[in-house]
Amino acid sequence: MIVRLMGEGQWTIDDTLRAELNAIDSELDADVSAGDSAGFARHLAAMHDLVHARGLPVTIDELVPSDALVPPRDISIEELRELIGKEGLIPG
Amino acid sequence: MLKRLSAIFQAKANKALDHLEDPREMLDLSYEKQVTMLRDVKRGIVEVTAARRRLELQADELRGKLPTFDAQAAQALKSGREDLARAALERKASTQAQVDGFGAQVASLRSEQDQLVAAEQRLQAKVDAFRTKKEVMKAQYTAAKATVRVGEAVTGLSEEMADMGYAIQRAEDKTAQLKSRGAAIHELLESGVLEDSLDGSTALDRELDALGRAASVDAELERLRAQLNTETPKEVLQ
Repeated sequence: MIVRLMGEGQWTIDDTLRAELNAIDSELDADVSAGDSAGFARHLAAMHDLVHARGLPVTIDELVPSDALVPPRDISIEELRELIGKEGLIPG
Repeated sequence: MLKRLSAIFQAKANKALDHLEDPREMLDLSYEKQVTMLRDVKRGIVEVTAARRRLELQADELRGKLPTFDAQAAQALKSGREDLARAALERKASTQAQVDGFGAQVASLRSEQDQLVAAEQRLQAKVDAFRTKKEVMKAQYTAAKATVRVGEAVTGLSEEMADMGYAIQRAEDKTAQLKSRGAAIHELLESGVLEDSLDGSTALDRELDALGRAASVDAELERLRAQLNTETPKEVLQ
């Protein structure tokens, strides 16, 4: 699976890493709905670090769409809400 | 969340793919569009870099105004007004904190912009790769097979473009925020009115100003006197 760290580029990740990232992604969702900025920043940074450490960078001349996008490391919950849409992350 | 983000970023690209029947035509069109967008990206980076430089200058300028408070304090002490001297120094400390905070934020813009430049170089390489790929694809074109690969390349590149566009937009927003913050501190320094001056220090402001004015009038008078003394003979000679 291919992941993009927004503003930084793309990485190929294996299934183990994918599962780990999915787990952090659920934490991120919880942080966003709870409005927990500190937890959100921590989980997002963890995601970036994992991809950097264990992902395989996509070469510069490869043109492939990503399966998942990780927002910029320093994004705020408010900015993310704006990016995803007015209704917020959890619809309804 | 991650998948949802990628869906948003790719939706636009797919929309563009939908209404074109011949992928070969689409490849050329999409390349032209990318070249234009890349040009916009470069211009965007030049603009945020210039704005950041202006902010750096402004931070220096604000810092340069801080000694004014020392001069005010010295003036007040000379006139035996320790209370006023204290007020001036308190004002210096709180303004200093604001100027420092501003300076630190401006400095952090620099590393963010370095990342932007790296992203732009990556984008340039991707656009170049696309140009090569599109010619290969056009040459090998058979209707059924090519469509999927063409779609991937176009979607991949437009995702890269969208990401870059978002990064630039964020940089512009941050620069604009800092610009108004700098302007606010500047105004504060010019007017001499601080946020904490509600507690009666407005009267102190006026006194400090009056002291300062009195001192500068005295100095001016002194200078004029000296000037008159030295210049009068010269004027006679002319």
